[in-house]
Amino acid sequence: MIQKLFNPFVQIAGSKSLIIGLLFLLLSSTLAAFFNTRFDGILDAHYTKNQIFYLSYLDNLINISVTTLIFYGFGSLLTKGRTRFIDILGTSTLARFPLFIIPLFNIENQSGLIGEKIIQSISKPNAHQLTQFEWIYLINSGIISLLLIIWYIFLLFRAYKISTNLKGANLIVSFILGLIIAEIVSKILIYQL
Amino acid sequence: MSLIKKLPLCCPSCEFLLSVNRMHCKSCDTNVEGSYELPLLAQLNGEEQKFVISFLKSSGSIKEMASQMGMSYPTMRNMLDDLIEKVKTLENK
Repeated sequence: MIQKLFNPFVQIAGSKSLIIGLLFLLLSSTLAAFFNTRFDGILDAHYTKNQIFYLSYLDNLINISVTTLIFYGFGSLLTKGRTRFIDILGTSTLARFPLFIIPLFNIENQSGLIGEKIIQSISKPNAHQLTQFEWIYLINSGIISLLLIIWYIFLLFRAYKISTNLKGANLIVSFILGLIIAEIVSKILIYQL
Repeated sequence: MSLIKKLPLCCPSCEFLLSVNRMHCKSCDTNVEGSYELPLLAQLNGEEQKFVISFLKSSGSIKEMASQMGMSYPTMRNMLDDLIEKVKTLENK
């Protein structure tokens, strides 16, 4: 069970992982659309007001495309063309599955409203103080969201490792570089929408 | 429970690759002594030998092996790539 959660790619990769990953992506995008969440970068999730429905799907489509292309590029370069596109696409799509939980923290705009209150309390220190419940909600949802993103990064690393069979410095350096480039490129593309 | 004895490949003292020094015929109790190098496949560990046999039985189809063992294709291919590297290293020793 633990292996299935933290390294499912030993058993599932290629088209099978792509299908499961796309189902999670659909779920995650739909929840994001309903609960005003933007996945505006491969490592980002932010709460907004009045989300345009289709943007949630476009966000995830961009995130998946950018991650796949960049890691496929690095993988192909370092393994001299031995990396299969379907392995990178399938495993990196499935790696995003933990993120579908994040929009659930914004049911009834809960996180968005807390965020607004914080911004208002900075400009007017006496207005709209957070209640004890809101503080607890903010801290817990923040910590869980952060852990979910760390889980995603870990899964993406396992996905890249198993798809390329790279080892040592080549693996670690190209993964960190790929992650940074993918974050920058995805953020730029999503801000063009 | 019967004890499964593993064929030792390396010297427990200096970790150098062992060679065959003595062979025995169970039928007529003849002993043959000499110095024989282990063949390449015998230098692989038990798991690796099982992998090679399974690879042969599936006519070299990694996809078929993966589905038989309940593993993903890249996992199997990586195991094969690592084994190829090990065989190359052993050949060059």
